[in-house]
Amino acid sequence: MKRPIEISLVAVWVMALAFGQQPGEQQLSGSAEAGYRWTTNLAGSHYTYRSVVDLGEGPKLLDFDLAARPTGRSWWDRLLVSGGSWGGDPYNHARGELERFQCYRFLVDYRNLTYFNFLPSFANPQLAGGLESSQRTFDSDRRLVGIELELLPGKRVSPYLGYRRDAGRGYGITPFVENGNEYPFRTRLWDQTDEYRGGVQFNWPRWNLTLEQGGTAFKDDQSVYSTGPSLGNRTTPLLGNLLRLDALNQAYRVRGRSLFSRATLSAAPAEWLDVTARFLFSQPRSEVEHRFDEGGLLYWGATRFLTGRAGFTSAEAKMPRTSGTATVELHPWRWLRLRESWWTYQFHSATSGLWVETLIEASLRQELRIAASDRLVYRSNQQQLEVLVSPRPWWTIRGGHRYEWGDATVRGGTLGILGNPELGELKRHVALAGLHVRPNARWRTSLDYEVADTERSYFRTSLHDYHRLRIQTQWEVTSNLRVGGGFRLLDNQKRSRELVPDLAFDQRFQASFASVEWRPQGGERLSLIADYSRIAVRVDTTLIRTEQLAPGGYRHRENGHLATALVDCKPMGPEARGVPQLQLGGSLYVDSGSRPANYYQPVLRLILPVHRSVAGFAEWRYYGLGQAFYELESFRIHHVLAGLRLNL
Amino acid sequence: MRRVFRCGSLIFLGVLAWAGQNPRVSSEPAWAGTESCGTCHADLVRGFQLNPHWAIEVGHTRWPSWKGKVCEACHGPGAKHAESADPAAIKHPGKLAVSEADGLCFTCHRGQPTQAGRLHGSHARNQVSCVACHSIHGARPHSPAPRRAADITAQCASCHAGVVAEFARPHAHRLREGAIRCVDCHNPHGEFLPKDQRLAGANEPGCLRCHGDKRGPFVFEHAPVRLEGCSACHEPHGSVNPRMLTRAEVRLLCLQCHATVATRQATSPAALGGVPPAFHDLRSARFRNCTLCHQKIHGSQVSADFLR
Repeated sequence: MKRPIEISLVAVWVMALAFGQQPGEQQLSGSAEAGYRWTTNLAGSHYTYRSVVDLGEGPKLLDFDLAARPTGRSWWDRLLVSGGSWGGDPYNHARGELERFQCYRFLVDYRNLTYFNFLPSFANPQLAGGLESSQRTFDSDRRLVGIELELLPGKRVSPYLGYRRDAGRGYGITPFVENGNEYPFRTRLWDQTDEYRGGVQFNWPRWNLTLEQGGTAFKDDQSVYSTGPSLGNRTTPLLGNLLRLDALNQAYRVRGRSLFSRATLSAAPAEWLDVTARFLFSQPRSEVEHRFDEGGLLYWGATRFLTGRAGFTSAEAKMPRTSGTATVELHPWRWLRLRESWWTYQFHSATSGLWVETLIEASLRQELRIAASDRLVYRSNQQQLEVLVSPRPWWTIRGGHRYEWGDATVRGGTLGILGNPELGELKRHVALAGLHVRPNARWRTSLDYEVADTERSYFRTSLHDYHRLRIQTQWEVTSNLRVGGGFRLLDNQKRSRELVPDLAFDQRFQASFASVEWRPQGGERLSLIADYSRIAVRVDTTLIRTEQLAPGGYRHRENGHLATALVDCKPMGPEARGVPQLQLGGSLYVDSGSRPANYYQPVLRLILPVHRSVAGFAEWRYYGLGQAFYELESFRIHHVLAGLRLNL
Repeated sequence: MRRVFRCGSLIFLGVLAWAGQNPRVSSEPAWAGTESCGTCHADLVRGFQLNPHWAIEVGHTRWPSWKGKVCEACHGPGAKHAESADPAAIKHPGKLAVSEADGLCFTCHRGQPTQAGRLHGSHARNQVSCVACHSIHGARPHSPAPRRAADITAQCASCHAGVVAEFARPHAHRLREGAIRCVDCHNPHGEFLPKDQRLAGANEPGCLRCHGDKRGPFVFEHAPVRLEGCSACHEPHGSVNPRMLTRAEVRLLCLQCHATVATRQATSPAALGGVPPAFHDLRSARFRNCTLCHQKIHGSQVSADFLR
């Protein structure tokens, strides 16, 4: 293993093993799985494989977890450690939890998520020339670290502190947009957010109050720079001149900060009364400096051509936000619950800035200055009443109403900085209904239904007049067999009543699934877990049709079938040494809609227990993505993994 | 009417100010004691010693009256059951009505911060009991709740198999790989937002907990990002479309809103979203991939048209 952290983790685990385990006591339990992965020659798009799967060869610490308790008195009562995908894999994670009951609880969480995205797009003007890199691409990592320390958990007064870092680093390609052309250049991505928070929990038998104060500090220093001259995406001359960019440097320097406050109350002053409330306030702000410097042959205005341009921007943005929620539930009798809730959320952004540009035309320089501001105002409210009636303990029927209202003022879509404000509104009534049936511990069915009548919504694609239905059921047929199923439906329609009648947005989402879990004889020798889902999406809307540049109909369709399964076979039982065990399964996805695709991921694993605590394994995985309309974005690859699994 | 309102308010405030009482153990001789339970249920008691609730048995909590009776803290007085071995003589939380079973847990856990959004939560609304996810006597001795990413996914998939299956699509969050967990985005105990979505930084959509570069505030905001959230354009569980978009091609997503070709009446706003300017020749490949130029589509610090 190449990284010291994997070695350290395995060393900790080995030491824990060496610790020894007293017969009859369970002070230590855990497992670890490590091995070596080989990949076959990739067929198809390497970039798409990296964008979708991105697993490589080499030694891997696949999975580990450890749970420990001291046998005698100690400064700790419980230790939980888990993680996986170490050894160069694109998404590794580790989590630790150390606790002494009612004294402290310490949590650490680490994740590293690689984001690689380089998908050759259908609308790449340079694709015919073999250039795939004229689009936005990313080869970056996001690292997330969280630490939380809670003191005296469960006591009357429990303070806590938390820290979290979210950092992005990497490179990519960003088209630098100039008048009349776009130039793909290398991008350096760098951003970081640090969040600090601290608070106190007041825990009394009938009420809990949490007060929290925190802040964030944000930095963004991304840049775009040229590594050579570029002709950009425009392949034809403009007014007889071939635009080009010979050199570019663009850099951001964004510094942001925010203070936030949170107060949460939950109380049960009486057996028949529950109250919850929450108030949040935050004041984020950003201070921006942006510079760019370019040279080449640039197009400006109607007929001007420049040899260079430079710019500097200084701006700031503020967005104070306030939200509050309160809910009261009365349950005067066992069979009746009345729940009333209110919710409000509002923010506004106030921004201002100064843009300074220098236009360079041979030896002439001209400076332009623009000062501008922008504003976005948003207010949203909800009020909801629900009644839950349980005539018998095994079934509950629910009904209610929700009213949503709000408004927003946004800058209208127009060229240039100085746009006119537009007003949007939200007014919606929603009727709620539900049913829950649980005649015994083995069978449960629930149903949720909403129907909305909307007078105003913000966007053409917003929820407007919609029906939403969800049904879910679970049945434990026997102690070894469990089946489940469900159905979801969203039917949303928006007609423009005031204007042109044929402006419409019709959306229908429908999903159903069935699952089975079968473990004959407790699953000692055979178990099967399988599920099948069917997803159908239909969207009909009017938009500007590309070919005619006029309004026309557009249809989006998704007809997806998803299936996953896992068969686990232990012919001689889980304790048999030297007898192979077999796991066979995987997932498949087939879609025949607007973007037909099939994605197969079968897996076969052979496990050979050699000791009470040790088993060897070999695994084969296949990843195959095919896309009928985008054959350039298809791939297939085989992975073979061999390793050991250790159990405590 | 005012007098009635004043009286009602005073009564309500009085009830709210009432500190309540600790759940006290009755002095009636109906308790069997944990040692008695262990006579028949030795395996369960032995396994339970690893459970955090064992702290009640040894008196390390603020309910010292339950010391030596941790089993009966949830199962109720067990003396009759110990004498008769009759299952009906003792409570089985897994077989109780949901509200009754949850009431056992809420005797101690009602006021915890994790329960703050409970009344709004989908689970509570659909009568999903605490013991549906938290296995007190289950296979995880050290923790009633799953802690490993794979275990959390399996627990959620036991009911939400159709939702978890969506992560099998090509472009998806790394749930199946263990890098992200259902509980990173959703609070199973309930939240104040729809679908029990978590918040980030106290007052922001939970997506920004990991995607901090989209937090802003931006000098120029893209309204749908703020007004309707990330799911206006993305399918967070997984999509067949690149970058988890809801449409196969990015232009089809943009043109849904930016195609209001009719004139808007001053007194009757229809929908937000302007028309692309005339030089956007949508027949040309250069103009058919909107985010080729409008890259800072989540908001820009520099450009009103999100070009930089």
